[in-house]
Amino acid sequence: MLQTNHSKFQKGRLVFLVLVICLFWFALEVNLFHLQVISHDEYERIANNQYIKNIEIPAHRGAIYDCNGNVMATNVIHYDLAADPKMIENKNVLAKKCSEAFGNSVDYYLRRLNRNTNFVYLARRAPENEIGSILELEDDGLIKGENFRRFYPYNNYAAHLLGFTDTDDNGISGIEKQYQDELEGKNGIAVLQYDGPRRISYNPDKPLVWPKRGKNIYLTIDKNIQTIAEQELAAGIKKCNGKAGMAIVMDPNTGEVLAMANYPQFDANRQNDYPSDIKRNRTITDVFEPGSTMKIFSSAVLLQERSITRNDIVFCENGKYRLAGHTFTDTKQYAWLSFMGVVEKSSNIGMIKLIDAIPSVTLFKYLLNFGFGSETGIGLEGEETGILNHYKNWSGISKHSISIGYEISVTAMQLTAAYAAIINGGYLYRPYVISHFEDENNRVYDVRQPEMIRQIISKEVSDELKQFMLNVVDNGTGKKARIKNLQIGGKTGTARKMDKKRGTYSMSRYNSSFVGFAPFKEPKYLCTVIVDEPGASYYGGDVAAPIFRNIMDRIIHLNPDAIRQDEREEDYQPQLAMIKDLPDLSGFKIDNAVALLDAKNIDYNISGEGLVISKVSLKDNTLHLKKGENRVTMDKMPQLKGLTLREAVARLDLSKVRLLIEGNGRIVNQSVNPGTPIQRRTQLILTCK
Amino acid sequence: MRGKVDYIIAAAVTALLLIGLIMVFSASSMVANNNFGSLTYFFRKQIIWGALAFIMMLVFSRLNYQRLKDNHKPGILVVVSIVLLIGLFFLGTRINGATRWYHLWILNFQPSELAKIALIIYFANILSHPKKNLNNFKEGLLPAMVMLMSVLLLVMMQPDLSTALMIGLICFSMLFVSRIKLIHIAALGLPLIPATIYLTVNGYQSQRILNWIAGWQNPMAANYQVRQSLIGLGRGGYFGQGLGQGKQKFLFLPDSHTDFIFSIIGEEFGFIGTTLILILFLIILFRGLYVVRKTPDNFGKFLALGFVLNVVFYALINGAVVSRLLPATGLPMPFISYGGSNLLFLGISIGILLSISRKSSPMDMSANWNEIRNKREQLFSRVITIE
Repeated sequence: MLQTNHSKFQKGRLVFLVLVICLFWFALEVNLFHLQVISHDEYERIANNQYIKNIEIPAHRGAIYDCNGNVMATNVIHYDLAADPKMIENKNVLAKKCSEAFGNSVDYYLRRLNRNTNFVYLARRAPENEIGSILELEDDGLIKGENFRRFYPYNNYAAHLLGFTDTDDNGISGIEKQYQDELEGKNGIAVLQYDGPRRISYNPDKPLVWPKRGKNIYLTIDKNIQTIAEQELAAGIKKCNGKAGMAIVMDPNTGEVLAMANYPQFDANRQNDYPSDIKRNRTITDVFEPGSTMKIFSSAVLLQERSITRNDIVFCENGKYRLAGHTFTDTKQYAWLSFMGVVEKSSNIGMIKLIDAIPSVTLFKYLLNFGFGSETGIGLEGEETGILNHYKNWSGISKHSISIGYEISVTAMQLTAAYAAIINGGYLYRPYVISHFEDENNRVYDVRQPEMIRQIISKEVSDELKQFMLNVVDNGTGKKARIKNLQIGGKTGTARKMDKKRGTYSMSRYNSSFVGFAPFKEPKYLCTVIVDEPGASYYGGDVAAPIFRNIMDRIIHLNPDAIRQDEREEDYQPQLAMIKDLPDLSGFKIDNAVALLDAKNIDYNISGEGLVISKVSLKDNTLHLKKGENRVTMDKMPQLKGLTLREAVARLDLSKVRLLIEGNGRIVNQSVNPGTPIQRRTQLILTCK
Repeated sequence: MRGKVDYIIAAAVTALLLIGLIMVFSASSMVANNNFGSLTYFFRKQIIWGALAFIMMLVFSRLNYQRLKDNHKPGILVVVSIVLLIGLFFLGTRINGATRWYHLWILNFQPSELAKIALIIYFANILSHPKKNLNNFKEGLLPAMVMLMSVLLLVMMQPDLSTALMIGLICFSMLFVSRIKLIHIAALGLPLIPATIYLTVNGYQSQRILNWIAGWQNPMAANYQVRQSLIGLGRGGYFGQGLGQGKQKFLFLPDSHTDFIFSIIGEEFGFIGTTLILILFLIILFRGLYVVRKTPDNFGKFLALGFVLNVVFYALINGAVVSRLLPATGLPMPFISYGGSNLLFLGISIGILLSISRKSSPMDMSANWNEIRNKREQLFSRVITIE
């Protein structure tokens, strides 16, 4: 056609142009597909970040209270101070105040405030009292962010028990860790909507969720008692140059723990400044061989099994006694001691000889019942069980060692709980530190009650042991625990520490302990003091007993009623000291006994009929001698070890035993164990040496 | 006038206008409420402008475009627009650091829009002029180039680089498909190279380019507006958040109802929505090319092509800017973006396009007449050449 021939168009170029346009159109489609479909999720996320901001409203962490409602752990407001340098009106004033509050130079803050940004931190987690003057500043550019932070008003006290939190206030130790779920509240959430110019609007679809505070915990700990225990323990250990120590105060009638003190101390508010090995709660985590404090349990077994009475005497070998190739020693040389004297003077040899009457299995079962070798059930994480080997694995001297507190490891809490059973009439209570919880509506729940686990010894035995412990303090190794005008009972302990490298007992490192209670008649407080590796003097009676006295003296005066009902008799005199030198008079002829007593100037009275003394007892500072037949009445096999043949024969009712004697000298072994009931004529072989 | 207009183009344009009306309401309500206290502030104006543009389209589709074909009229139109562009420096209203508008009563009149249409008509005229031999530089191209360069320089001085570039692009495309030698076009393009380099190195523009490059590597490093535009598109997915459900218009995306309205469409109607819009423009392109092919006279062909390119270039480049394919620059999306004079001139140019389409319609009774006239012209020109 004519018109195409004369077209002013170049068709090829037009096609090319259209192709370019179509190509561009296609590229645009591909680009849009990539943006809108493939990268959709990423852009959706970016978009939501600029539309919505979830602001957490921090919840209050639950507080921890003592038994009287005193706050032991709470939260305080700390401020994150920041500034918008472009908004700050008076930089010089702010920089100067910051410099005063935090110590950096004024220039340092001016430099920060002159940064070309919208946000600089000035200080983080600053307590209100430090920055009060800055908070008063009314400057639009100053940003005061409020934060909660854990605070322990008593710093060191009970820190080991309470534990502490990390910077985000999550419990990482102690009760804070164990009850993290309860203490931790639930943070609230505010959903803020933003528009382009960053104006905030409220989103009706997402209403504000208020924070829920954590649950409060009430402890059985008494702040006042805890304070005393902490102070006196620290002072005492410093004085004796000890390495570490612990003290527990418990109500022996319920198992409530009133104080739990550890040394070295640390400040829970600044826990990062302290090495981690001093932050553990030693009272439940550290096991040790208790030494002589164990003798009370051996005594309990002896009394409960009725193999012996308090006045039965034992020959203490003048301080050295070989048994199965092992030499036991006493700190002082004793000849004859009554059973009570053995406890009073803490004679190892006396106790070893006496415990021989008890079969291993019996001792083992009693110790199990007292709670040794298993957790006390106090309900704190990290509690150790201690070590109590099964009696079948005991060596020849294990029974004897255990009776004086070796070859057995205990925690301070186990020891305290077991002592509570000794003095409260024989009932083992589960120790506990948590009294109850309180939920966010202040409703009390999970109230913990005293929990009696079992009765181990009878009330009579318990009373007898209390008397023993009274004597320990009055006459024995625990004299330094005495408190004026107050009757108290206690038991000392001094144990050589095992040298782990050499596998033998150390000659220089000791563990000194004292367990005591007051008032005597109706014990209200049981207090255990353990000093690890005391420096100068190491006897429990010298190191731990004074700490106990200082603690108890102050505690008991917190509660005047407790003392009044237990006032001490003014004319009270300590029991006769001479008795320790006295042999067992049983079987003595009256004349000889009287002559001996007269020579020693000891008051006595004699009752009954007979030629020889059948029974000796001490009452009101007077020795009561009961005359009887030539023979003692014997329904149980007496303890004969350590006696001469003559003495042994005097104690035996020969109508009931067929006696066979091997060797010469003192009796070292008897074929029938002491305490074994004798119903019919039995053969008894006495081995002498 | 005889013959029927191209209903497909008319329908596509009407659809775009209606979509634009709805989207302007959706995209502008927050800005309007924020700045003028009324959700419908821009929407109401857009109804008026849309209606005016539609009326203009109807009116111009009924006028005979041949009347524009004249040795002088198009030149005069360009000169008038040049005068108006110069007048801007004295009487223009300064908005956002640029003097692009005359503020007349309620209308912000943008002379560069008039200049663009004047130049398209002017170029269509000279390129189709039977007497002019465009390969004779002095006689053919020189006056056209003087006109074009004056306009481009004045528009750049407003400054409005993007409009200048678009005018240049459209005019050069028209030159490209004409019978002018490629070497001449290349020679004409030479001065643009140093100019481009100057503008690229020059602070403000080079920063734009750098932002654009950074945006490719990490969308979040792009400048704020492009970033928000991408977020809007990205939120769309296949089907979008739904009409009115977009969030970018809550003052996140600046110019959400004008230059960046395509992003809001992408957010609310997704990939399907953006593709639909781009297909409508593609329809206009191919239907426009059909008109170009069917139009008997060369003037009509060039004029139709110029107006089609005017629409399609703007649409594609706006889409490319919004989706970061090209560096950010301020161009409206034809028929959809909010705007007064822009919409009005678009209506006029589509009206002229429709008027041309009447010629190509089979019902056109004047076709024969035109053929005869063309023949006569061609013969006449041969006579002249012979002379």
